Amino acid sequence: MNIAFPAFFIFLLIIPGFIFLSAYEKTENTTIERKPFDSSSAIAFLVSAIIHVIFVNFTVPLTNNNINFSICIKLLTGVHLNVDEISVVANSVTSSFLYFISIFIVSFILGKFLQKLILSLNPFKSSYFAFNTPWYYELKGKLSDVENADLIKLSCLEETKDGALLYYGILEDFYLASDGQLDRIVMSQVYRRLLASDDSNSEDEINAGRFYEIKGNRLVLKYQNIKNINIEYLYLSPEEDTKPSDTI
Amino acid sequence: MKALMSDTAKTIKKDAAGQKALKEYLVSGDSKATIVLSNGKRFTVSSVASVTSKSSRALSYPTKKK
Repeated sequence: MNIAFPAFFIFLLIIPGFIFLSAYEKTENTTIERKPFDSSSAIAFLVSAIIHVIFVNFTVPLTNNNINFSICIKLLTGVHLNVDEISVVANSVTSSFLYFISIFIVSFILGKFLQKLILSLNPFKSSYFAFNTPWYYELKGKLSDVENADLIKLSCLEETKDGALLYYGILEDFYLASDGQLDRIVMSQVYRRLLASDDSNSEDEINAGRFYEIKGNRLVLKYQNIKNINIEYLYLSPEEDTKPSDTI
Repeated sequence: MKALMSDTAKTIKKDAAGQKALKEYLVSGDSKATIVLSNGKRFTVSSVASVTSKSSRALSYPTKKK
């Protein structure tokens, strides 16, 4: 118990930093920026320290409580407490519990708030403080402030034993792996064709039979099976005049 | 994670005629087409930003004052 408690206390002290980072880096249950463990640990320590300093100096005095730092240091270093100190700790269980719960909640809210702030001030891949996740910006269509597309058409090439297949469709969802790479994509209105069909020279043949629609609402393709992806940003604009030409 | 899809695109996808037209555009190979919705509303779909979008602003130069 004597050995475990300092470790547990240190763990409690650094948790706010990890909660903050988790909230800051996650959106829609996906981590949009993955740092190495040593880097994220260092940031978590720093963030924890900053949040504790703010709480100890500004929030705790507001509640008419104070923190006994000598007991805290003794707990951290594993020094035995005397009877008086143990009774102080015992009487502070509720306030300590409230301190840690409130600091965890504030860390989460602060992380989310900062993420929203960074994403709103740096919304594009080309932004100075953009997250280090290229796929996120590519597939959210946030490349730069001059490219404001409406939807994304994907052409994915997949190798099978029968030959290379091309999938055409509208990108609906995408999932990132834990390392920030693309894991899988979800498309709708998908058409498939054999790449070998492109060898035909006849225009009619090209437009008539080479595509066939895949029945179903959504098609999931795993990124590891895709050879390459062609991303086409589509722009939609309401028409003012009614030209009959090119109408589908 | 939800991919890029504007409100206009969602409207077109919800409309039966719009969805059909969008499907045809996907495989047509054309760079531009017109989509007509069931209610008669018309939209231009293009892989190039229209002249009204932000990307065209760089093409307008201030005229010299005489």
